[in-house]
Amino acid sequence: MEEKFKNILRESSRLFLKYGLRNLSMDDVCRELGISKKTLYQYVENKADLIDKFMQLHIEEDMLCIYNPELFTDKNAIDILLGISKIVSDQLKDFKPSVTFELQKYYADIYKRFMDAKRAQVYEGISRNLHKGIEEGLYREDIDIEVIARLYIQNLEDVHTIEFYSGEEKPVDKVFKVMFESHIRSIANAKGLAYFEAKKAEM
Amino acid sequence: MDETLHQILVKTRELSFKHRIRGLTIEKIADLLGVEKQVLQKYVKNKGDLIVQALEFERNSFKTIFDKNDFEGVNAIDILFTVSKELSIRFKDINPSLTAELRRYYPAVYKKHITDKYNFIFNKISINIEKGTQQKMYRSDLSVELIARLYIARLMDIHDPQLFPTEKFSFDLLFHYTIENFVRNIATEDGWAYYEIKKKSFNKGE
Repeated sequence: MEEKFKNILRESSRLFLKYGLRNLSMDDVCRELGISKKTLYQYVENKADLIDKFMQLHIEEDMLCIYNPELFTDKNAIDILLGISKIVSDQLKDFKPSVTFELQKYYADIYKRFMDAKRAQVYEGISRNLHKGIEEGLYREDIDIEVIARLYIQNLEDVHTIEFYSGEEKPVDKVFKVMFESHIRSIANAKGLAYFEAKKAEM
Repeated sequence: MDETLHQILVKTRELSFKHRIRGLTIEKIADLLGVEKQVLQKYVKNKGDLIVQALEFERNSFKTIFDKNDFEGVNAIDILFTVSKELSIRFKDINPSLTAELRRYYPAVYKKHITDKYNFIFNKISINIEKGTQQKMYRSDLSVELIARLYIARLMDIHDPQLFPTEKFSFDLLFHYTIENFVRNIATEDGWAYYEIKKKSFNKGE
């Protein structure tokens, strides 16, 4: 994929997250990006195609990258989790649950494809992290990796599910932090927990 | 509650594990319950009404755990143990195909049931978190509302047969896991030490 197209995708994804999927038209995208419609339609067929393509790019660039073991060489399993947590929290700061809702409702196929790919990535990454943490003596040896990994990927949906926000709405990055800490506390042994708490105090 | 109605609802619960709701007529239900159709119809208007009443009965049965036990002044972690034990006795059997049928054929009734049930649990678990925090069993830096919502999300997750197929994962085990992780996540050092001691004596059946 050429760099110019990737930039268009990155920029339009930012716009859609900000303004919502339904509200933003292809004309708006062109105007905001300062490109002609002709240019945009060289790359994508229509709005759904544009959304599909930037979601795919998000999987390739952001998801693959944060679960990429090479990114975190000579880091222990908890540092890796904290690193991922920071990246995800930053990503979530401007995120609105309503965008997920729109995606589920109006672009169900795209959403399903995206979630399946994301789930598979996260499942593999988190299982690897669980094994690593056990080897390093930071996680308990008796954890059920399959159950924990399944619950962890479920966070992806729970954090975004509108129902989860029934009552007073909570900032999504704060919800994520609570889930994330819960994940670490449910797997760490005493040594891991002490390490986590020291790190948390630093931050 | 009228004794006959009580018996009808208890037996309806048993029936729901053996039969698909879809195929049952009111005649067949009366037959299976061993009562005259006229008697059954004195208490329930129709099949839909029986389902509404049976679900309400289920929720009330859940609530009696809290009416029966006086939790005033009791340690928050002890309460978790007591409630889990009662739950595993009373609600040992779960039937995912029943849930699927309810969701499909009685969506409004099912939705109300689930909403009422989770609202009740949300309320009780929030009280538990506040209590445990006052007793210094739980940490003081918690967001009660977020921890309670997370707990509800977890309960929904472990009830999801797509995520945890019942033939592969035992519900008892998943539930135990959820409670234990709930405590792990929020307990102080003292609280966790207390939990571990309790767990040992609990497993011995004391």
